[in-house]
Amino acid sequence: MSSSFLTIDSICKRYGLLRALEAVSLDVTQGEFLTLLGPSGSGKSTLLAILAGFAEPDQGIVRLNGRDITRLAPEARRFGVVPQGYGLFPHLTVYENIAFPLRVRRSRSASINGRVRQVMELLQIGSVKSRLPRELSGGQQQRVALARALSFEPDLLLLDEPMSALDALLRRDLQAELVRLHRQVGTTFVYVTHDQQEALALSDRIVVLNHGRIEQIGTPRSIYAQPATRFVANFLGKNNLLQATAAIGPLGRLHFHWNGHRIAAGVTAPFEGPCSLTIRPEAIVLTKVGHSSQGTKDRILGTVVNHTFHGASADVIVAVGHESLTVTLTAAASPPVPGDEVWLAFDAERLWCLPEADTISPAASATSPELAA
Amino acid sequence: MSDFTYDTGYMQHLEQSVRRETQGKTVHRRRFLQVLSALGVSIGSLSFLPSARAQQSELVVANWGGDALPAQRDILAAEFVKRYPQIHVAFDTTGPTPGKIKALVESDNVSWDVADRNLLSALELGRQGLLEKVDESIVDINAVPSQFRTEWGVGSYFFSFVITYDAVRFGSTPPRTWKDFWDLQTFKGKRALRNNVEGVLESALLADGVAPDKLYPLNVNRGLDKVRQIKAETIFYSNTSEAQQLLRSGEVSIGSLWSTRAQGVKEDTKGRIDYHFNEGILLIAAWNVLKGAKNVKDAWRWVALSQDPYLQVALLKKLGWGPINPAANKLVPAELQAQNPGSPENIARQIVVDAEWYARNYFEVQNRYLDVLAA
Amino acid sequence: MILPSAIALGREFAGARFQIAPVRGLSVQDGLVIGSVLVLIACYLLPLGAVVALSFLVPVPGIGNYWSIFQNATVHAVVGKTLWISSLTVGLTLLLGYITAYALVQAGPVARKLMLAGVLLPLWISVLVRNYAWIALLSPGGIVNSILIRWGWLDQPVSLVRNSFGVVLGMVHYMLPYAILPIYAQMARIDSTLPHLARSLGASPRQAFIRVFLPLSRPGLAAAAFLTSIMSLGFYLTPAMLGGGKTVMVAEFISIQVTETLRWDIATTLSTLLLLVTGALVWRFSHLLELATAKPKT
Repeated sequence: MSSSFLTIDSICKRYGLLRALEAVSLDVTQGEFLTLLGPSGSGKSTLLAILAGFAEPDQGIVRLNGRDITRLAPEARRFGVVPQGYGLFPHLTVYENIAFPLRVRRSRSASINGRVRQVMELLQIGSVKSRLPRELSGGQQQRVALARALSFEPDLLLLDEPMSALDALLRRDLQAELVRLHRQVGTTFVYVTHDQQEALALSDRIVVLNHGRIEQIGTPRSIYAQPATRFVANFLGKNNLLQATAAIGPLGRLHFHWNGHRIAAGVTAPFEGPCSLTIRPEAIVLTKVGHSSQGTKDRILGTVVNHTFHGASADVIVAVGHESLTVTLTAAASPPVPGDEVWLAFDAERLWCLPEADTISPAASATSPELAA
Repeated sequence: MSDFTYDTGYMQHLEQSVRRETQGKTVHRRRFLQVLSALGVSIGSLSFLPSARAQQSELVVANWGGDALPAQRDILAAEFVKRYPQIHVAFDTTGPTPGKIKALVESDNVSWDVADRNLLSALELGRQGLLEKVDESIVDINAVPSQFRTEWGVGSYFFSFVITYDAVRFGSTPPRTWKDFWDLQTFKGKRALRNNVEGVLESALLADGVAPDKLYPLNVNRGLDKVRQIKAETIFYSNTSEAQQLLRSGEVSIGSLWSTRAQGVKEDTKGRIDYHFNEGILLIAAWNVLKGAKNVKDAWRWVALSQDPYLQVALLKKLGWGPINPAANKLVPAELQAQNPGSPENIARQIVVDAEWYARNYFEVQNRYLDVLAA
Repeated sequence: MILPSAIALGREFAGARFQIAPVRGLSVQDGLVIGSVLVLIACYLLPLGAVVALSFLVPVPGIGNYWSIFQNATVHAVVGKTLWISSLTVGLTLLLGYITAYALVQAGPVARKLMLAGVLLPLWISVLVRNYAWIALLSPGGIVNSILIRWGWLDQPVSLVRNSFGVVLGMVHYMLPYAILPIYAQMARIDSTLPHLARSLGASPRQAFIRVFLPLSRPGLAAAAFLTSIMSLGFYLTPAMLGGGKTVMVAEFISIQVTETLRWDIATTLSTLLLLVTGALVWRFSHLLELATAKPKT
């Protein structure tokens, strides 16, 4: 990170015996859309509370543009917050909710009016300005909460699972809206969610948290394709994790032994020993036995045990020996049915492997002394 | 809600009361019931609440409870039952206020026969038709001097409002007069006066320099002005045990108390609180027999009994009631004369309340007194 | 008429409580309801109706009593005193009740239970006992004065009871639970994250309280104000015991007119007016009490 806009340095926070956050360090770049992703209890909401000033860390420092703000009062931070459940003030109209941050800052009433109109227009909620929150739909409440948090032009917008209460359809619409909004206002967004789809769809970068620790930081694509840990590999999207052994062939090419099969990898980085081989369900090519098929060299025979139709795609569970794999098919004309014998072929470019111990990354293990020996 | 008290006895008599108050001319029973039914009240429920008294052969005596109950029971009732064995004497100690007497009489459901009140009350309530006239065939009215009896009651004993003070605090110079009582500079500390006007105006006017024989008719304005002077430093008590406690705890240094209760607190404190009869305001107690009582004859027998000189002395000993029957005075032992409000020496130092004046002015003056207190 | 509608109302309650299917004719629960309605009529409506009737009938029929009561200086003084003491009491009760309720909401579960017990306990102690306790504590020879004098904070004992101060103190103490409970119930319903959120939006702690917490707790405050106002108008024992005879409020005044001065015209007229004022307050504001128990709207 070239410009350190917001720096989180070795934050620790405990609640009694529970370690909510352990030595979490993170840099947030100005203007980015950063998502804190993790299951419940991973510490993501605690981190958000510390950023907002609702909680103080036991250890560590939060810096904004180099200035220590760890113990700064919430109102002195200029961070907009969109909480879970929106947190609209039930006794105030939409207009007054949005004007709230400006009123408590004692802005002139003319400028309040102008600014409120501006954000209401930005979020297309001008038509409900004199309603009370309880008279709004979930989506409208969401927009009002966003408008209120943005009305005072905050340095940072903190969003805590803002879509968890919405239905799937509305959620998709609002995701697009949020991306547009982020682009339009240019404010740094820190977004907390447990929904990996949302994280992948929205973020410039994702921080995956588990048990109060950061598992991985990266762009959605890199995290999806190259998970750093088994947890990340499982948590983001569907994935097949196979117990395999990596070996380097005579030409220095990497291949894996799994379940009696030899699988060639598209990467050349040297890596040997037991590992977790990951292959995304959509990176497996499936052909029915009897059909002519290409690339017969690395194909694996399996039996279809289950088939789940999702509309645009379908998931097929294929048994190979004692193990099973999930394969995602798109628009198959004659889908395989349970009992069918099928050939599986892995896309060599999309294989990824993790050492058995979660602590070291594949790149690091490539230079380890044991492998050199 | 325990803060609110509600007097159920009061309600039984409303119909009667309306008829009486309007002399039966303007309100007919039917019209009254029409009014009630318009308010959603049904007719049958008007005669409810069975009477507390059971048999005809019971005499119900209403008194104020406290020390008076055992004394009246052991001295008067014991003797009464000896003379009239067929009669059972029952006491009701809830306090015979004028309001309750009026309520009972007007409801035609008179559950009390005789009430421990005073001569002022005999005149006030008697003139309103709430009391029986003295039955001279049973009561010897000549047993008491004529100024101590009325058509509706015969004086039964003396008691007086006396200056009661903290003897330790004032040492050798105790307050002697009502002037002293009103002198907050010389005699430091708070005062206690009853929140009932009886006796208070006399004290105030004496303090203001009115001669004892020029008191009546009372100059109400002057008296109330005098009360106002010490109002800030005065606690106005509603029952006498409260006043006793105020003196006992030292919260008050001088109070105007009934002599009977002053004697009680003097004994309790072994003389730390003392009193004297100088300028005492002498009142005359009298048994009132309720109009339409179920046992009028026995009630007058009770009154006649209470005039017995020996019983009067016994009651002086026990309660400090000053014998009103001159025949009893000769029987009073010398050592009891000092605390006898009715002894010739003590009567000479005191002012006798004019019951007639109160009978005509009490209700109005009491409200004006209240006005002064509440302002 | 009152009776049929009262029965209908009673049946509605009984039905809602016990979920008993309606039966043709008169069922057992109808009998119970009719019985309790009759008791209610005998013990409350009938005497009250009679009081109202008397106020129009003695000493002469008409509205003369009402006319004269509005011109009666003593009544003015007593009513004025009652209103003054009541408003002072209600104001103080709301202030203290609000602070206590706030502390209750903020407290941990164990502390809250203890505090709630402390709030509720006085409800089981007779007002008589409590008044005597105040006298024992606060009279010039009482514990508080003794301690203050011993510590040299006072030279002379201060009169803390037997004056208006004592009356207000006793009344506030009596009514505090009635103020704390509705305010607490309302506060407990407030989303506890809202004040934090207000601060993140730029409000100081004071602003967050005034602009967010206070308005959201207002229904509880209104319910408490309603309850305490109605109760303070009818206070009888506390002013009589702690007022030193100088704080005569309406209820005591009525009692004196009934028992001592036999002015039943004044007593019934004043009672009717008190009933009217209280009834009007109940009719106008009873919805506030429902608010405190209603479920939050979503």
